[in-house]
Amino acid sequence: MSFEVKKILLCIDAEKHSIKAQEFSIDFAKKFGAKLVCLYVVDAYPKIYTNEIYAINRDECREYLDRAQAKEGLQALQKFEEMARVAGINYQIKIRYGFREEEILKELEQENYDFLILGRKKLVRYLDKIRSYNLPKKIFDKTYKSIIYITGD
Amino acid sequence: MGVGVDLTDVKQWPKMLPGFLVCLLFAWLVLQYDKYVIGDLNRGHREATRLLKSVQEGKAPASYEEYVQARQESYKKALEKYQQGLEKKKPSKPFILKKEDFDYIVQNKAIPGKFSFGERMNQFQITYVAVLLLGGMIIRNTIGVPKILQPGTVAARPWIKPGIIILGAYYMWSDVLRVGIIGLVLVVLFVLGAAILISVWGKRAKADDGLMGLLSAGVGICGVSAAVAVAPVVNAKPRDFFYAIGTILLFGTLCLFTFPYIGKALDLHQAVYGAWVGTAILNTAQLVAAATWYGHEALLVANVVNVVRIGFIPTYEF
Repeated sequence: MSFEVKKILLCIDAEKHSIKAQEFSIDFAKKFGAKLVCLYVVDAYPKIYTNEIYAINRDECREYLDRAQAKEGLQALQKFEEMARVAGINYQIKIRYGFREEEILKELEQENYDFLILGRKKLVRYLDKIRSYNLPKKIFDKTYKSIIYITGD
Repeated sequence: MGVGVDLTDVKQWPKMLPGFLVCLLFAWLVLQYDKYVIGDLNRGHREATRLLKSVQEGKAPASYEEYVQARQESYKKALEKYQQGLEKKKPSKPFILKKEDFDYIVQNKAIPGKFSFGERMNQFQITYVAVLLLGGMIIRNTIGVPKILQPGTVAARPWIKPGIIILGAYYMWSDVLRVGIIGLVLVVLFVLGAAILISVWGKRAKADDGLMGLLSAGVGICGVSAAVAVAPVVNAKPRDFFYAIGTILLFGTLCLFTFPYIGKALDLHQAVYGAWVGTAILNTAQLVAAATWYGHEALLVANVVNVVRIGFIPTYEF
């Protein structure tokens, strides 16, 4: 029985560890001849959080935070595209808007992915563990999909 | 918590009602504690100490009735002096001990435990502000807040600023001008000092310009509101925006719980403490809490200084 990988989901953000995850997932997809879907989620939390701050130009700030995040996302996706094009793999890029955890889980439910690849920080110190939202762990707890974690430096 | 509720949407108000009512009930209960423990018991401790001293000196009233009469007469005399213009300050009504407390002090030559408890609570400044803040934090981080109550926990926030406006009723123009001018000097020094310090430190740490802009505005002026106001102007990264807000709020929380004790340890006058809090604590809610914790005069001064500082927001937009 041969092991087939047809479609892989890679979730990225603008952080360093997600670059490492991109490199790995491109190699991985190439080896299996699989389609690699690269997803960036524009986090809705900053916009919702700032809605509760009563400041002079709150609305302008909320729009700005969305724009800035989308810009960061597009830049990260462009970098991915360049790498994927050079590697010559079948790829697709996607942007979603909402809470990161929810949107990644929705994407996994809606499409038939064989693997999910996520970059993650090395949380060694106790303080780091408290500070971090630890999205990879939250995703792990809520899905039965196969997940590969690529740990950053 | 509470995130996702739009306070300007009237349709969402019923959702907020249960949480808001529970918050009001909690606040009412704590205010009752404050009135009894910090108010009555603490005054009782002072009166009990005075009576104990006279008992120890052998000058104690012979009976409870005699004690009550002596207290009322001394109040009447003080009131007459005030009415004649011999005293500037109107005397407050005397605290008269209950019969059982009077008997306890005379017989045991000791202060009843409840009064000592009230005095201890006052000494450690466990006032309603501390109980509400710590209580809220403990509930949120232990048993948690049920989902049905969560939307209501944000309903109190919009009242903070109208509350400050209402506080304006306490001010006299002359006082505002006097405090305002001193506050202006303090604020100018503080805003410039903060901006220079952060720029120097930021360059040394090779920090991003956006983050430095946010921190200068946030730390120098009025915390989160200033950070929100300048974020688009300085092209801050979203991550930096939240770093700045996190820094400001954590610093404010630290100040909130330490300043009242430092103030008391240094025996700062209420006005001096108010000016210090108004300059150093950036977030209005934290500032109001830290000043209220210390006293009403401190709150009034802190608010004037805070208003002067907020006036500097437009300078950062340039």
